[in-house]
Amino acid sequence: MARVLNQTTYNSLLDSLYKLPFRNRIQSLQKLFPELSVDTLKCVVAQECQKRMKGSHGRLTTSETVEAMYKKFTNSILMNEEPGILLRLSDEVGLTPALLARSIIERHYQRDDKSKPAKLLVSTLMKNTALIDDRDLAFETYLCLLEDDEYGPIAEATKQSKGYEYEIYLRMELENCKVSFLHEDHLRMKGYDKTPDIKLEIPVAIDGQVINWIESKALFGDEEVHRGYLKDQLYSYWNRFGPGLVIYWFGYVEDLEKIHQNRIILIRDTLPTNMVLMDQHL
Amino acid sequence: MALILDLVSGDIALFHVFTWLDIGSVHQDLKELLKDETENIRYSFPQLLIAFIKEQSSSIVKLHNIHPYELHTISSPKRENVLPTVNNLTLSSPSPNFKNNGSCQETRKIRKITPQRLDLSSDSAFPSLQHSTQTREIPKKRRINPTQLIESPVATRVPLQFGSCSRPSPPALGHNAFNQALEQSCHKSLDQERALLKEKKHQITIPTISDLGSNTPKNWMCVEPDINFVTKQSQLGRLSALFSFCLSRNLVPSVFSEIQFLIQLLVLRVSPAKLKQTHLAQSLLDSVHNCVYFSAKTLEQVESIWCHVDQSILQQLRHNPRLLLFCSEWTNDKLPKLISSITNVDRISPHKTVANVAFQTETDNRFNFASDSSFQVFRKQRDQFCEAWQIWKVNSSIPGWNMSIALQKMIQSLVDLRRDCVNYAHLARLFRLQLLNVAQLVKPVNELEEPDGPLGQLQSSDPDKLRRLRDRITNPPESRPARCIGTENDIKMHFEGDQEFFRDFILLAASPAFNEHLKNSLVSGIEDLSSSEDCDDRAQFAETIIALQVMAKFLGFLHFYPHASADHLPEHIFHHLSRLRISQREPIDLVSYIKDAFHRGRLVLVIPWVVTYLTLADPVSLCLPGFHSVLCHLIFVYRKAELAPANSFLIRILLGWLFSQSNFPLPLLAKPDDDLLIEFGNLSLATTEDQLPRLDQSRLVDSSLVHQCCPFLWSWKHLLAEFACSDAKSSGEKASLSRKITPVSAEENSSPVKAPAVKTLQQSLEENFFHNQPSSVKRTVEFVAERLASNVVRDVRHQIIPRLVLNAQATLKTWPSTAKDPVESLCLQLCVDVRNEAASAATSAIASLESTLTALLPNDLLPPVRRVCVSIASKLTQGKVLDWIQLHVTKSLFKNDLEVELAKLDKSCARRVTTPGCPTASDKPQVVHDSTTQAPSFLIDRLKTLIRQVIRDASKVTEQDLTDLLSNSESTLHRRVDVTPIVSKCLQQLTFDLLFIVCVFQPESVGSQTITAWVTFWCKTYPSVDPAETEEPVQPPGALISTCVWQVLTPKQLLLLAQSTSPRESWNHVTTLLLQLMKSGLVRYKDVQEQAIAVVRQEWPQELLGRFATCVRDIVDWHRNKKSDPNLSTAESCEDDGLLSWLSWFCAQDDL
Repeated sequence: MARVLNQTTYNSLLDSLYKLPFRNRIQSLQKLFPELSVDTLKCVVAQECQKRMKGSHGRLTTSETVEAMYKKFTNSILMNEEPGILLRLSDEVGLTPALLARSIIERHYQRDDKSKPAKLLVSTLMKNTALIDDRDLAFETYLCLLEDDEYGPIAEATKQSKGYEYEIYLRMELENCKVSFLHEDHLRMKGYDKTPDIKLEIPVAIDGQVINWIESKALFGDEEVHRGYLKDQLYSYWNRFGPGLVIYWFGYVEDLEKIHQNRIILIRDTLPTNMVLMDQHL
Repeated sequence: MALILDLVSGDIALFHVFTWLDIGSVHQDLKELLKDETENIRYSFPQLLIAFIKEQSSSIVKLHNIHPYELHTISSPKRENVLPTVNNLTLSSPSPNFKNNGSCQETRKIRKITPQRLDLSSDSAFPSLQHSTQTREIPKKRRINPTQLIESPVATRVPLQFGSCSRPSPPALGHNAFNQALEQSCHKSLDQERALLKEKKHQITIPTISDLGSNTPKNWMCVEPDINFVTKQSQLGRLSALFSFCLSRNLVPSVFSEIQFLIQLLVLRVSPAKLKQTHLAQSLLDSVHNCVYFSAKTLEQVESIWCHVDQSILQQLRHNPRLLLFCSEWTNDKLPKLISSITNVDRISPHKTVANVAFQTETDNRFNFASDSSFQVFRKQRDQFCEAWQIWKVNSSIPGWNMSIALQKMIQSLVDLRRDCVNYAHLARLFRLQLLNVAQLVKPVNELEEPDGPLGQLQSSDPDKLRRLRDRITNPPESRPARCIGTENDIKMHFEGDQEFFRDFILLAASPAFNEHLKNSLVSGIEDLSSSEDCDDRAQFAETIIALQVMAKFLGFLHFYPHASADHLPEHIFHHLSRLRISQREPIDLVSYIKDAFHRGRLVLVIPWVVTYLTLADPVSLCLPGFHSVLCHLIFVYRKAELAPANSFLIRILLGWLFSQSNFPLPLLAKPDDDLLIEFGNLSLATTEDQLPRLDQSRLVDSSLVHQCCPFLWSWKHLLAEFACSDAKSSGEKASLSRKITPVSAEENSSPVKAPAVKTLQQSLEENFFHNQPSSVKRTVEFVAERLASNVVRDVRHQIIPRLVLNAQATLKTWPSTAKDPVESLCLQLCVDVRNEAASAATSAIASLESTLTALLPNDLLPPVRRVCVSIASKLTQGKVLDWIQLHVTKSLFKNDLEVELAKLDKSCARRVTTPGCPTASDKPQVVHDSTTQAPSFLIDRLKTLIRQVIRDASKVTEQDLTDLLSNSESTLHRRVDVTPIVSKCLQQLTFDLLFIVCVFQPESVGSQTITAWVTFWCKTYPSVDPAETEEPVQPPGALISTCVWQVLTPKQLLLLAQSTSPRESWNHVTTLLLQLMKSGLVRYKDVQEQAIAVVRQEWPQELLGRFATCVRDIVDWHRNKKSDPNLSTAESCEDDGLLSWLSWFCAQDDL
C-alpha cells in the first residue's frame, strides 16, 4: 500500500476530501483511492481536519456563538431530544464534537462573572466525564469524545502514544541493525539545546548520503507540516549536526526534499534497510 | 640613471656587480663607476634599476594603453587601426607603487568596464597566423557598450592618482627622475583622455552606434615582434641579467609587480600607424622588438620563480607565441619539464559543501552558559544565524536582492537578542568557526569548471572573461545586488565570495559589543593557531595558514574599518588624525609574533596572516610609530630570512605585495640592513624553551597554497590569457587545468589555562625532566592527563551529581517541615558528598594510567622515567579534577534543583491534587519490550470503538471479549516500554468505562469473576496512592469533589443505569463492582458518601432512586461488618455510617 504520494495524487485526494461530509470520510476515500494505505488516508483526513479547525476554531467559539450553542443544547435537553444532541450540533456548526463539548462545558462551569473556568478543571472533566455534575452534559460529552478522532483526551492520548510507539520502534530497529546512537533523553541529560529523536554516534549512509541524526514523525508529511518541522526542528538539527533523516511513518508528498535547497535532510516513510555502516574492521 | 646606463653599456664584469649587491664588497672597476657612494647606492640600486627600465620603455608602453575606440576616435579615422582585445590594466603606469597593481579585484573592476564578446568559432576573431608578417591584419568583430567609455579612463586612472598623491608626506623620491616622468606622463594621458571623453560624448549623439555594433569585419594591425629587428642586443642582455639577478635575490621591493611588468612588456601591442605618428625618444627599449626581447630573456632567467606558480600559468607561458619565437629553447624544452615536475595536489575534495559548525557538548551545552535563559536565547541565536547564512547563500546571487533589506532586521535582532557577555562570546565564536569553515572552501579564481563547448573553451583561454560573462548574465550592471549599505570603501574590496556575508553581517549588525567579542575571539583564534603544533602534513598546514589569514583579515577589518575613508585625506587632516592615534594600541602584538616566528623558524606560518592584516590598514595607520617597527621587521625578514625555496617564495611574494601597496611608506624600503637590525634587536635570541616544530625549512608549501594565499598572482595568467585569446594562433591549444580544494573544518585548539608561574623546585625539576625527554613525552603526558580528567569530570557531571541530587530531593520529602532552610543545609551536604565521590572517581581513574602511558610513550624509556611520567600524569589529572570541583561544585549548583523540588512539594501540598501513580517506562526499567503485544494506541482505539458500539449500536460484547481485553491490557501495560503516563491514565479510564458500560447495558455478559479479575488488574496496575496525598481537595464550592477515575454513583453513571434494559442485573453488577473497588482500597467509603450526596441533589425517577437506595444499603452493610471486624481497624473504619444509612432510607421512600 502506497504511502508516498506524488503531488497530483495528493491534490486529487485533497479535492475529494473537501467534497465529502465530515463523518466517515475514511471509508469513502478508501473506495476512491484503494491503492493508498489506510493509515495514510486517516492521517491526511486528520490533518485536514486539524487545519480546518485551526482556521475556524476562534471564529466558532466566540462568547456569543458559545452562548447560542449552549442555549440550543439546554433547549434540546428540555425538549427531551434523543441522545446525541451535541453530535448533531457539531455537524451543524462545523466544530469537531470534542471541541464543541469543551466549549459547552466551559460555558456550563462559567464563573459568576461569566469568565471561563480554570483550564485544569475543564481538562479533568473532559478526561473523566463521570465527574460532570450535569448528567446529560456528562453523557453527551462522553458521546462526543467517543466520536472524535482528532481532539479530546482520548484522541490526544492515541496520538501521543503513536508518536512514542514509533520512536521506540525506531530505536529497536536501529539496535537490531547495530547502529549506535543516543536518544532524546540522553541528549537532554547531556545538556543539548536541540534534541533529535536519534543522534547517531557513528554516522551511517543511506542511498549514498551520510546522515547524522534521525527524527521520527508518526504522521503524514505534507508541505505545511514539513515546513513547520523544518523551521522548528529539522533545520536546527541540520545547523548543529549536519545532514539527517526524517521518517514520516504514514507517508509524505514526493519532492518535499526540494524545499531544503542545499541543506540535506532525507525524507523516508520507513527506516531504510540498505544503511551502510562505517567499516570498523582493523 | 646614468649609472645604470654606464653599467649596461660598459664592460664591467656583471659578476662584480652581483657580489657588490650581495655582500657589499666593491671591485676596483666598480668603485670608479660608483665614485664614493657605494653603500648609499647599494640599497637603492634595485629601485634605480627598475626606474631605469621603466623610463626606457615608457614611451613605447604609452602607445599600448589605448582603448581601441579611443584610438580610433582620437588619432585614426581609419577603423583598421583598432586593437581588438588586449585591454590594458596597468601598462601606462608601470610603477612599483602603483596601487593594487594587478590585484584581482582591481583587475576585475577594470575589466568589467570593457566586456567583449568572444566568438570562438569565428575565423575573423581567430584568423590563422600563416601570413603573419611584421604587421598582422585581423578582422574585427566585437560588441561594444558605448557607456563604458565614460568610465574606462577614470577607472584606469584612479589608482595612479592614489599611487602618486595619496601618500601623505611625499616620500623622498623627488630626485627620482622616473617618478617625475611618470607623473607628467599620466597628467598628459589624463588630459588626453578627458578630451577624448568629450569627443566621445559628442559622438554618441551622432548615430554611429549602429556602425559600431555592426558585424562588418574590420581590420586592425599591430607590430609583431621579430628577433631580427632587435637592436642593442648585448646591452639588453646585460640589463636583463642585472634585473633577473635582482629579482631572484629578492632585491626588488616587489617581485610580483616586476614580473607583472615584464609580462606586460611581453604582450605589448602597438599599432604601426600610431608608431609612425609618434616620435619616440631614443632608448634601449624603444621598440616592441626590444621590449619583447628584454622581457623574454628576463622571464627565462628567473626560473626560481616559475617552479612555485600554478601549472596553468606555465602553460600560458609555454604557448605564448612571442616566447616561442624569442626563447624557443626555454618554452620547448625546459618549461615542459618544469610543468611535468609540478604536481598539483588535490587538497580539497570536489563535491564538498560548507559544513555547519557542529554542536559540541564541551563548548555548547547548558554548562557553558550562566543561566537557562542565556542558554535558551543562544539556541535561538544559533538557529537564526544559520538561517541568515542560508538565506544569503541562496539569494546573494539573485539580481536585485538586497541584503540590508532582507536581513538587517534579523541580524540586528539576533545579535543583540540578549545583551550579555556570555551570549556575545558564544555568538562571536560561532561566527568565527563558521567563517573558518567557509574560508577553507574558497576556490581559486580559475576553479569554476565549465563543460565542453564554447564556454568550456573560454574557460581554458580566459576564465576571468567567462566569470564576467556569467556575472553579466546573473547580474546585469543596473541590477547588481546592493550588498550593503555604506560607502564603497576600499577596505571592503578585500572580501570575496562567501566572506562578503560575514563582512556585511558585521556591518549590518552594527553592534559594538559584538564587534568587541569578535575581535577577542579572532585574536585568541590567531594565537591558538599560530602556536599550533599540528602542521605535519601539507593539508593540515594549508588549512592552518588559510584559517589564520581569514581571521587576520576580519580582525584587520574590525580594527581598520572605522578609519577608512573614501576621500583623499589632505595633509593637515592626515597629520591631525595621526596625532590623535599616536598612542593607539593594536589589538594584536605583531612585532612579537614576527620576532617569535623569526627565531622559532615559523615565519612561513606567521607572515601570511600578518601581511593580510596589514593590507587592510588605512594610510594613517601605516605611518604611526607603532607600525614603524612592524614594517621594519617585515623588511628585515624580506631581506634576510632563510627558508626553504617554496616557503621563501610564498612569504616574499606576500611581503612584496604589501610593499607595493599605495599606503606603504616607501622610504623604509631603502633603509640599510644595519638600521633594520637595530629595530629587530638581538638576533641571536636564545630559543631554549622551544617546543614547537620549526616549519620554515619544511616542504609544506605547494603552488596551490601559494595561489590560495596570493590570489593576485592570477593576474599574471590573466594578462597572458587575454593576449592569447586575441591571438588566433594560440586559441584552443591550452589545456584547462582544474584544481580542487579540500574543505576541512577548522578545529579549535583550546589552550588550557596556565597556572600562575610560581616555580617551586619540584616544578623546575619537572620542567627539566621534560626538557631532556623527547617532546612527545610531555605532549603525551599532558594529553593523557587532560583526557582522563575530562572523563572524570564528565562522570561527576552526568552520573554522580544527578544521582546525589535525586537522593537529596527524596530526602527533602521526608525532611521535618520544622527544620529551617532545608535547601541550604542539603546543598552543603551535597557539596561534601560530590567532592568525596569525585575524589574517589579520580583515584580509580588514575589506576589505568600506567597501562595507558606504557602503550603511548616511546618503548625505550627507562622504567623509572615511565614511573615519573605516570606520577606526573596522575598529579595533573587530580589537579585538573580538583580545579573543576573548586570552580563548579558549589552550593549554587544544587540550589536550583532542590528549590524546584521544594516548590513542587509545596504546590502539591497546597493544591492537594490526587494523582494516582502511573507506571511509566522510567519507573520500571527492567521491562523487556515485547513487540508482539498490542500497541497502546491500538488498544485505546479498540476500547473506544467497543464502548461506542455498545452505547450506540448495542453491539454484543461477550464475556470472552472482556477476558481477552483484560489480558491484552495487562500485557500492553506491563510488557511494553512505549507506554507514556498519559496513555496509561487513558487506558485506566477506558477499561473502567468499558466494564461499567457492559455491566449496565449487557449485564448478561459479565460474571462476578470478570469483575474481580478486572479490579485485581487495576489494583496491580494502578495502585492506590497513599492516604496523605488523597486528602480532600480544597476547592471552591460547586467544583469537583474527587478526581478519582473509579466513579460509580455519579449522575452520569446513574443516567447510564437508567437506560438499562434489565435494571436489576445491571444494579447488581454495579454494586458488586463498587464493593470490589472498596474492598481493594481503590474507592474509599468517604468517596461513596460524596457521590451519593451529589446524586440526591438532582431529581431522579423513583424507580432508579429505589435501586440506588438498595445499592447504598449494601455498601453500608458491608462497611458495618468491616468495622466490627477487629482485624481491620483503619482510620477509615471509624467513619460514621449515619449519613449513608439515612440517604438509603430517604431514597427508598416511595412518596418522595
